[in-house]
Amino acid sequence: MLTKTPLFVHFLAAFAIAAVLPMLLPSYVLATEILLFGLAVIGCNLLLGYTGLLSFGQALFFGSGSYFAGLMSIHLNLGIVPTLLITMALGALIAILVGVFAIRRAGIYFIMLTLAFAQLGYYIAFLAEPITGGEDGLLDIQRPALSIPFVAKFEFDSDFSFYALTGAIFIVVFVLMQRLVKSPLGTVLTAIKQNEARAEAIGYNVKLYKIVVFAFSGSVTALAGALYAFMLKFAPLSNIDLETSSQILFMTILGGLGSIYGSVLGSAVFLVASDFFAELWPRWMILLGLLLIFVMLYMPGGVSKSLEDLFAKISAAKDQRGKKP
Amino acid sequence: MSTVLQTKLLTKRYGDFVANTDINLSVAKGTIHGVIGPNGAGKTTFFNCLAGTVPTTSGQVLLEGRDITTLAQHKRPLAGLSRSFQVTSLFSDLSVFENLRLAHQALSPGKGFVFWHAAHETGSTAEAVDMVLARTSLIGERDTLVSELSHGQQRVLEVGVALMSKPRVLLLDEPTSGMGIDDIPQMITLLSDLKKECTIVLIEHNVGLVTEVCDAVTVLQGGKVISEGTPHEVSNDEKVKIAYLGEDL
Repeated sequence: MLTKTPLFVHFLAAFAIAAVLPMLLPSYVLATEILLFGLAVIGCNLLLGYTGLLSFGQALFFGSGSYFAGLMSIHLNLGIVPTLLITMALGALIAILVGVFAIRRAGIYFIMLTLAFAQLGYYIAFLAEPITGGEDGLLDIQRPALSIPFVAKFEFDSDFSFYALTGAIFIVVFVLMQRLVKSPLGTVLTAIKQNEARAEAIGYNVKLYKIVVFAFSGSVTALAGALYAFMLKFAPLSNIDLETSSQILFMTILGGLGSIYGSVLGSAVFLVASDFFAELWPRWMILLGLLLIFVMLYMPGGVSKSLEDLFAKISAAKDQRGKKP
Repeated sequence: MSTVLQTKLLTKRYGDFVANTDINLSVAKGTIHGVIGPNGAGKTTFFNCLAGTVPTTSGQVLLEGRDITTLAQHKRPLAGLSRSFQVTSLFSDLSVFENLRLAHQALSPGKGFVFWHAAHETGSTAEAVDMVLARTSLIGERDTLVSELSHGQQRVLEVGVALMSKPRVLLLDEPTSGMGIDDIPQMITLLSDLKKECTIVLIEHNVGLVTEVCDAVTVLQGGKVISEGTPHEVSNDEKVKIAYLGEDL
């Protein structure tokens, strides 16, 4: 069933998330990270949660976004809006390239192809040291400013101002993605996920749709990567490595497949838990691993689904109590 | 009567295995044409070639005189040819309405790529869906999830989804497969009703249904046509009896 939540409700929700997040967290940096990884997870969810395509190569788009945006800021100095838009276009282009080849195979072979492309990207970034900085990463990235001619020029040097920028972008993308998943395109993606053969039989060019969703995923993920590079003022090689791919994938499954809200939740739970565990114990990855195992085993559908079920139970209990005299 | 769907020397090979050999079929307009044969006769392969689900090895498929042999499957509904599946193949976590709506949306080329506005659920879309809901007696199940429908209802919806494209030729792969004896009359009524506006090609195991609704029958065995004619003619054909019951009889 299509739920008919008006778009402005999603806008308000996204606004509320962006406004409240820093109040709950120790730093703007962590809040920034949650929102930008939230975008990357939305990109992953478009493929996995909505279309049923498990991509193990999201870091290719994320890392490419970091490099493109970083290089543009160093060499071209275009301002924040053109930089991010061009990064998104390039991200889409790379994703189309990967998509065109990867979707020729299904299942395990598809997954391996996405992984192989990402590894290819990693080694290119590793070897192209004069351009990407190789193992050291791309250093000395400056955050481009937002200049509106004759009106004002905004710099994003402080943690707060950069958070405000990320928050604004997050709200826009969040609302657009809510629109997308309920659009004709979104419904076709759901159809493909549920029954590819039938989707083709009723008249949809399934391959073309898969390439289109790759393009969307690539551009949103590259945007996230760009913001991450600007946050760090540095594009580490690890942005394009296997661990980043699996991290995005973990966040996606953790939050809940096929939910834009779940995407943000997945990013938040993952990063807050990492932050918390890291303070407890230097071997915090073990604790994180245990958390993930727990969620996989006992919260099928991810954290968002469990929360939904919990709210449903509470409201059912309230109704019951209300009926009693 | 004019021919709407025709195959000329249609052959389908899977490696060394020949599933269909030189099949010539002519389906007359406004009829229900049955394709029957024992298990492994190549019916479903033949059907997949007609629907474009698999490419043919050689030969031709003509729809209203137009050569559609190499036309991609997803373009065939728009060309007037639509198919159903033997094993129910629906979007099972979506509502009945959404299943039909998706089939309707597929008919406007490019419509599915629209991402800037919400999917239409009213107006002409709802009208088209409601019409098929009424014909298939599923109007009361409009908002039911497909996975919650009875098997019989799913079989009927299976045909309904294929109907959304207002096909001129409807390919039905065992529409009664797995249906209970009580549900079959509903399917027979539906098929007879559909015959008024489109031509139907039917793969079927249920001989009773074939004799009751089909105007013409083609019998396949070992990937070849062994008999053709009215249901009465075919059922009296010695070759058909042997194919179904074995040499000894």
